[in-house]
Amino acid sequence: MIWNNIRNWFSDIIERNRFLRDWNRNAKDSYVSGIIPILMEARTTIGSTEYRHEFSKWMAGGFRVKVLSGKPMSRQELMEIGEFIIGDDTMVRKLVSNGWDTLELYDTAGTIGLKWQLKKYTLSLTNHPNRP
Amino acid sequence: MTTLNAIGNVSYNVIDKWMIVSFVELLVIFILLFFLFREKKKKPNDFYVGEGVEDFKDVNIDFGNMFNSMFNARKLHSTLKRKIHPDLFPNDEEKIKIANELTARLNESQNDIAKMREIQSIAVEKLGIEF
Repeated sequence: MIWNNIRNWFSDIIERNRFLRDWNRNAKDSYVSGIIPILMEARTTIGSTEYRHEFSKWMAGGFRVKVLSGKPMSRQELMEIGEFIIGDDTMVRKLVSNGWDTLELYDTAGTIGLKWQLKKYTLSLTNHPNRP
Repeated sequence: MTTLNAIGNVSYNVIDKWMIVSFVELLVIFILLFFLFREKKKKPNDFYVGEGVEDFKDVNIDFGNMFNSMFNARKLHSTLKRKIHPDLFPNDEEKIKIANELTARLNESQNDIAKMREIQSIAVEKLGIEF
């Protein structure tokens, strides 16, 4: 049992790292080719303890997207990016199943940082009685 | 811990303090591993696991399309919405039907630029719209 848990733990880590690598590579390519005006980099953080769910990884539940635009971004601009990610059903489920529980978004030039509870947006996709 | 006997030889005790420290460290590691890999009690009604949340582990996401859609979908959506509106073809039943279908598809895929490009190409081909 412990052996299976250890094996699953390592495979989960590999899966999460692959996801982060794909995200960062595609974001960089899109930025370099001029498709998107800002550079985005994702990494794992501790996340918020109050946003945890049963798939959350210990001390690694935060999916933080750092936005580099060269100027301080407004709250509205950050909200639009975050809501686009949250609005993508497949993306939210993928994040939740990979053990992330918090989506964090902040830009390097400004002082605004936003975060979303991923569990809430997964529940909203289902017919579960506990959905918000 | 060392002691000096009457003859002057130095004798060593069997249990060294560093051995105790290493045992304590080992114990702490085992306790941490236990907490890390223990079976978590599932709380009923806490989180909805069904509907294949776990199944999404193996789903591939088209990141290129996602980033492109994140910044460019809104503009294309508003253009398409304006150009393929059924009211623009008042005398052609066939085109109204196609425009209705395309508008419905457009509303479903307003955050997906790849699908909107498909709609655009259909509009060019079947409705004769120029973009």
